[in-house]
Amino acid sequence: MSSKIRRSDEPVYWGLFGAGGMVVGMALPALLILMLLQGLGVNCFHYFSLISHWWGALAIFVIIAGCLWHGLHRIYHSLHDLLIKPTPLHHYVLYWGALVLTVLAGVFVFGYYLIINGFLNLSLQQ
Amino acid sequence: MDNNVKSYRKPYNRPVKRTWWADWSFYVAYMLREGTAFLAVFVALELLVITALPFCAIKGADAAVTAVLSNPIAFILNLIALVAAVFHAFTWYNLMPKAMRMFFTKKPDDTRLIPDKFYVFGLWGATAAATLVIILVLTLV
Repeated sequence: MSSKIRRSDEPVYWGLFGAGGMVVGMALPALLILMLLQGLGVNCFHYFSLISHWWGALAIFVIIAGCLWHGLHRIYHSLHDLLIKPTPLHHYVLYWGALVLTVLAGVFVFGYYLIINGFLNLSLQQ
Repeated sequence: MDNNVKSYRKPYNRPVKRTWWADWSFYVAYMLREGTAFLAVFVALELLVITALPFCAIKGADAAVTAVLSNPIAFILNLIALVAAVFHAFTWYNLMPKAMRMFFTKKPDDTRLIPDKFYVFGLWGATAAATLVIILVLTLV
């Protein structure tokens, strides 16, 4: 057992949880309204037009990452309420999951932006 | 808390039912609030799948997005997610003045705090503005 006191990494996760909570409250209602309308046949959710702009890609990346870090942090801390004793394995799975999915979101969102604007010489199924 | 002193103590752990929260409306609201996290993760995964569509061998990404969003299961989950997001916002904004307490002035003898309703109205106002901007941008872009 090491006698050195390690700094907790919790503030980082809490900060991401807080930022994500703001994203969920501010951006998700509008986004979900448009997604529901699109599902009903109203052509209003111009997702790929949005992420073909750098600011749109950035916004969508922030929204996806915010939802992930907010949701998975809250799920981790709610395990206790579901009578599941949180173990380091739960922590690894949820937070590595959040990181991997965030990277994946970044690859897809910015990949789409780069390819559609010709910065990457690849073709997409349009 | 590592402790290598041998203990003969046998603490009594009161049995807790899995539905411990169901008898109090306060804890039901608490569990619903925590439950909104699952919907937030669902929306993130849904957006991730949508973004991945043009990378897959699917002809016509825009049509595929409409197909995903008009799927009945996805539609119902989106509807629940919308309610969850608004409920989350309601709880989140009410908790904000407790998380960050701000004074009216910087004068040392003035300890008046900014009232809770300023935060709540301000945050709902910002949400209304953000909603308007997102709807306009995504419709017109």
